[in-house]
Amino acid sequence: MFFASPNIKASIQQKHEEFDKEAIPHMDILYNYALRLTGNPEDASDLLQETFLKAYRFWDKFEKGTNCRAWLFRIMRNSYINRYRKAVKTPEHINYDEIKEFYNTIREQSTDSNDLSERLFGQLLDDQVAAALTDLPEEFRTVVILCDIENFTYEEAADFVDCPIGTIRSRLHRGRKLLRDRLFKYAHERGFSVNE
Amino acid sequence: MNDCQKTQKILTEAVDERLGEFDRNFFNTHIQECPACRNDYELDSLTKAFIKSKIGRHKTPENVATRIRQEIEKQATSAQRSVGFFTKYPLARAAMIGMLVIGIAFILYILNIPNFQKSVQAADMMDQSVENYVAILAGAIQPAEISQHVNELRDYFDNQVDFPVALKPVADCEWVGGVLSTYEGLPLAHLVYKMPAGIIYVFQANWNDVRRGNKISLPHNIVSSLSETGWYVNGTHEEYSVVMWLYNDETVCTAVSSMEKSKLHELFATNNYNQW
Repeated sequence: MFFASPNIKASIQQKHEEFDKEAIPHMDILYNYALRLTGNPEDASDLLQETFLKAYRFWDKFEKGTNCRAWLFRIMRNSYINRYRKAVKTPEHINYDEIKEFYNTIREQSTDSNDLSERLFGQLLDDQVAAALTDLPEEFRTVVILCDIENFTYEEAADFVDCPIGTIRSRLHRGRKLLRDRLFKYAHERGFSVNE
Repeated sequence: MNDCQKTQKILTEAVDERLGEFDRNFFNTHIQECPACRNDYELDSLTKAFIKSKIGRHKTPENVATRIRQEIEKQATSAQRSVGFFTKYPLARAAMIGMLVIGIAFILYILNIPNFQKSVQAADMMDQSVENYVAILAGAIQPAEISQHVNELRDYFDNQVDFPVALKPVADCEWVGGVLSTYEGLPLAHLVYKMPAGIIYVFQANWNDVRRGNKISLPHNIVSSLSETGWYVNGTHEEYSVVMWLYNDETVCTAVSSMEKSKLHELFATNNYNQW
């Protein structure tokens, strides 16, 4: 290594250019993912920086030509698991039947989906919605973010997360249910009463 | 399976409009007849639409993007600078070469050529785990960071490896030590749990690297067992208990100890530190 310094300089320059061209363009999508994982912009910025610096440090390990975004995503998810994920808390008991009962009631009164959406979720503030999403366990939250927000197909999400499509399907199924019950709980807490 | 059960199975794909014609017809027919399934379907669809509309897409804040680019610049230029040193000071280069030659000769002498040749092939992770365990007992490997609570080692390992480090608390543990190393460029993490009766050594590496097997490897049957069940507990070592498992599908861990194997397995089997 000590014998070819001009070549080393060139290869460092090349690494820098490669990284700039292949990894940096994914910054926005990764920032959004960091926001959804951590729930606030400060931690998201830190997580984003940590991810890109780690990616740059281990750039030689990345197999050029393969899916760079998936590789960055994995680094971010590992960093999140290592640093930001809080201690496991026992899930509070959520009454899964409440929202179904409520929906039965309002469904008799209306079939218009805008009206129904308004009645179910209209009272929620933006930060409550974000909090409901952040409350989800990471594996469910990730799939909901990828499929429902970022418009990934099941196949793309499976590739991203590196799991079978069946796993994506079942996590999405459960993730949506958990999310809707959480949203309902937040709406309920704000004094939005259920008409019996 | 009755119609409701079948409908529930394909509900998520119905919401995402992924059903083939046959399933779609079945689904649409059933939800017309069954208010419960219809409501479920509508609730999921409304939730999906709602979350989509509410959660905005943000651009990375300008100052954050700039700071990241600057940090990367810094790393790139500091790497270049350290190389420049040897072009400016050729005598330094000669001195380094001299030291390097002596250093390599010394290492070869210590390692014995036959063993050195062996280490150029892919090292077996399980064998290496046991070797390291013995070396730790003999005092040849010392932890770099020690704490009473394994969680406090998080900062030590942070950013140093390209896989999540499993930091599982173990009951009755007096202290935990951590140390990092590399092998052929692969980062490795080591934990030593000091127990009343002895130690537990946990060796961790990037699972993808081990699966690929060109620098660190495992026998095919062990890779299969880990891939399919997340565990390998069938190793029969004469003197020590060895168990292996995957953490978060990213990290492969090996635990070596003199304690009874089922006890060792149990200590790390409750993966409640990465589940909800």
